[in-house]
Amino acid sequence: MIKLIFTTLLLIAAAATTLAQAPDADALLGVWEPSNGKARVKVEKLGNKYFGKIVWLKEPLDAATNLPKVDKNNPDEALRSTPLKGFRLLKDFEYTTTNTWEEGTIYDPENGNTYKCIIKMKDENTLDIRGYIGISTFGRTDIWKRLVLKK
Amino acid sequence: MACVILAATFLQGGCKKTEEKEWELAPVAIIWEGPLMEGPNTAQVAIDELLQPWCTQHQCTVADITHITPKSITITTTDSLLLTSCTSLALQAVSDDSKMLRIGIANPLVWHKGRATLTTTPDADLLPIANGNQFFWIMDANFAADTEATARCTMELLLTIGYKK
Repeated sequence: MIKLIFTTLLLIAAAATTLAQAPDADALLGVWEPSNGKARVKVEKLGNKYFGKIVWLKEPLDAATNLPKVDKNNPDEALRSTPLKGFRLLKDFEYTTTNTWEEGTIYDPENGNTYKCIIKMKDENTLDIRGYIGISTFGRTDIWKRLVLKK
Repeated sequence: MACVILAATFLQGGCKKTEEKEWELAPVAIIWEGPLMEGPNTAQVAIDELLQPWCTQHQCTVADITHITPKSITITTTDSLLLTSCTSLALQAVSDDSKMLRIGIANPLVWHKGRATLTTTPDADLLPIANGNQFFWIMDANFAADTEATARCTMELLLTIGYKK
């Protein structure tokens, strides 16, 4: 009998944890600004994963062409006509542990490189975005701020 | 004995020849719910069990499919918002078990009598995305201005599917 009660309590606790995790995972949704202030990135949930695309550029026009900037540094020549505004630079993130999203990549349009990436939410308006090659020890962390601050 | 079974399996697999067929998917309704912002807006459509009906029709299994690549992507609409204010479209696909894949793009977007064609990414293999229970079409549309309206179009996809027969 004690075993049954214990098991039931465990199941209730597990269910409560699952229910509590769903809103945490979606805490990443919103518009974020990298520390250099050059762009704003909107994070969306597509399927069950999280993606971030550029929705605003401080300098939207290419100085050389005076046309909207495109992904001219993409290693795939066929993709170099893709508009930078709307470009999805955060891809395939999954909520793994508390306030952490992993398994995704970040793309740097300034050099055309894609890095593995871990996103950690320091508080509801601040993200640590760590891009790295190989293991996360060797990488760089940028701090992103939420554009519309939550109270 | 195990070697004999392995050899037989290998021989059986080896005897199958790969065929390619064109596969026209049922038209997909794409809706961007308003309000829409100036710049990129995303619509997503969930697709369940894409491959199984095709396999049943062609008397093969999902394991027999070798590749699925896009051949043509056509967008049709009578929506004035899309016709006048949308400057580019990009189609991707993603599933929970696979990375997002670019399928096609139209930049600039050119309409001809309510029809537009996306340039396909011919090497994009949809098989790892489509062989699960569910995947998502993700369509990005760039709009020239903010609007409260909702935009709608229909997407027609022609795929090339390779399978062992």
